[in-house]
Amino acid sequence: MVEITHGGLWFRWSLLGRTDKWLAGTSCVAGCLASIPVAFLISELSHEAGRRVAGSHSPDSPGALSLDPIVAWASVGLLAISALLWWRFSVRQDEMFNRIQNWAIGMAGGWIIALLLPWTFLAAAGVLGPPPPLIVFFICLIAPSLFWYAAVHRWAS
Amino acid sequence: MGVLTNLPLLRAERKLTQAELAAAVGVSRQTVNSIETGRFEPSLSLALKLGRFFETPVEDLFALA
Repeated sequence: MVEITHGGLWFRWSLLGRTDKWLAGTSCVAGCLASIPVAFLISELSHEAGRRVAGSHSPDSPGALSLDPIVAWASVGLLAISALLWWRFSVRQDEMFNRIQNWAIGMAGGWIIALLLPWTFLAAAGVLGPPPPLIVFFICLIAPSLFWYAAVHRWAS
Repeated sequence: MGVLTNLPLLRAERKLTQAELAAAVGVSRQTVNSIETGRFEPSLSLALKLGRFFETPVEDLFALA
């Protein structure tokens, strides 16, 4: 069974069996590979920000996605593989791990819906612009992480 | 409202480590520790497993604070 360490940042890998190590490790690798295109997008945004600070403008708008469709689909596929493997890993763990994870995902999901749904409605009405993909990505990354740390602090630390 | 437990006492009486108890009931050592420190309230099924392991009614293992 997994033990959560460092306030939620890591696991005690030595306690995991061979199957759990393979499931968790492969899931993490797939997730990291899926996130590589985001690094290029951040790089584009950073360059754009630098150009604006320097006073030279670019026709590119910050936050605009410029991913190749094949790369995007590959990322989606890798994310699906990562999620499936993490689910298989999770069902092998005990109730405290699953309570922590399910609470974190549930709370994060609720807050993400509360933030993005009104934004989407307002964007459809022309009041706001559509939520930029990178913003959505970071909200989906940060929200579960914050609630994960809160849950670990509440139940496991 | 929290839950009190005398799990540490019962475990000490049987000279068991947290890891040994955890292995016996199918959870992690961290879960046993969290139960003993009152941070984590076990599910009914886990509470019943602990009761069966210690041959003690669940009401004698856990109480409302």
